[in-house]
Amino acid sequence: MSQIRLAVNEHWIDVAEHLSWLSADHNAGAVVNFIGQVRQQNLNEEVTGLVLEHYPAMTEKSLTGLIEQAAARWPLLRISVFHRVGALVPGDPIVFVGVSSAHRDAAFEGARFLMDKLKTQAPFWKKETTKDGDRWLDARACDTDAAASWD
Amino acid sequence: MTLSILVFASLREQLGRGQISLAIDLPCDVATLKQGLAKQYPVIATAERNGALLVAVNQQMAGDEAMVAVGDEVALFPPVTGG
Repeated sequence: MSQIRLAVNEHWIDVAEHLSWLSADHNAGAVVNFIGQVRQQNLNEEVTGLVLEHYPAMTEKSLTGLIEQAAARWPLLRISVFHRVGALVPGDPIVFVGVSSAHRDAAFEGARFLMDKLKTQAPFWKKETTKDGDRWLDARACDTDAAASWD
Repeated sequence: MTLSILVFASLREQLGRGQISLAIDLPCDVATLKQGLAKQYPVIATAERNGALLVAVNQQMAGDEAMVAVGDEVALFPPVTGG
């Protein structure tokens, strides 16, 4: 039975604290985490800000479903998923996904599965601010392919 | 009857509001719902034509065959871009 932490909100992501929680299980021989950050350069333009919109009633439900799938598929001890919404600036963390497991294969795969699925299933949308105005980002085909590779 | 539908992100901005409505007989499947919406809202017709329209029923992603019944929460949005 995995221990789970999940939050979607406007708060800063305290990476050190999340890593320490993931590592605290003494059966965790492996801890893997991913941090997604706001890029300063995207599609050849300077990005000055990013707003993340979401569908509040669906977001946590969708992420909980993905966490349950990961927990059923790999022997994960702890799973941590934090995603920010609202206004962010370049360099800000957007998402933290981390898992711990007895061995590294499960940890690497579990973390990658969660990120790949989050990218195509969880209802978040990014809108970037550039000097030429605001623009909604388009989904990328490579993300769809990555998510489908787990099915 | 009139069904209220939540819309998000670029669709919300293009439609100018976060909720739209459609007169439709329920239950119906998502494909029928999308056809009805595309007739009434050109922006939705364009999104559908570009393969850029997702539907959720009761906060779950729903394919064309999924059913929509009275009282369900229906939402429309473009492909997601979180993470």
